[in-house]
Amino acid sequence: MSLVDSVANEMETTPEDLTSDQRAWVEHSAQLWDRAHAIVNGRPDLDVSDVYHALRTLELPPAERLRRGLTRVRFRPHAR
Amino acid sequence: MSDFVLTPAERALLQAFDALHIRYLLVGMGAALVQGAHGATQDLDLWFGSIDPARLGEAAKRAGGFYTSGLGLQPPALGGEGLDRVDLVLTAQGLGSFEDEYSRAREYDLDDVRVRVLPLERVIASKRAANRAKDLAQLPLLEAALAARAKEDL
Repeated sequence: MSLVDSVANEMETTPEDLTSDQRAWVEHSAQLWDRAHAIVNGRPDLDVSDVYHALRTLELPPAERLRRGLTRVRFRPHAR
Repeated sequence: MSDFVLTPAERALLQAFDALHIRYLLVGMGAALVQGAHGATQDLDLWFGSIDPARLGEAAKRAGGFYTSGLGLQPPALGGEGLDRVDLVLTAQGLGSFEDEYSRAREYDLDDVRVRVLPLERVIASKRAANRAKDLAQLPLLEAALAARAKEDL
């Protein structure tokens, strides 16, 4: 079963009924997870999820990467 | 929400640094975020090779703020509306001289301001040297970003 099939199944629909945006996101995400696993292969000190999120973040412009990091703090309840 | 990551005062401050030829490096977690780390910070750490109070004061003034050289436990700092996220860093652990690190820095565009940024591998070195709990806790995210960058050649 492909990831697209799996997502469609979880959404109780068929792969054909996914929108082009949904299908593109799923396929791109699967590619990133493959790359993340390739990176951590032989690097047991790395967490594959951290690498996946880094790959996602690296797709953003530098200013947007910084904005998100500063915004994450803003939503923490005890941030100043 | 503003389209800018920097506050107007921060942007004016960095532009004033450029105009006044004040050299600085963005270091710490802010530097790591710019280079793809998936983390968080609440401040922008700017490392200066040396502090010239008069020129820093002029830069702060152009940004609508002020500079204080500190007193007692209060370190040198910038004050004023929109400048509260800026921390002045005078010494950086685990790094070479400011000149060496500055020459190896990466340059990024933040809100149309060119900012020199400590490379991610050097951020990791400084956090290892600092050896504080909060620095060590960030290392897995920084190492993951470094590995991702190496693979992507970004």
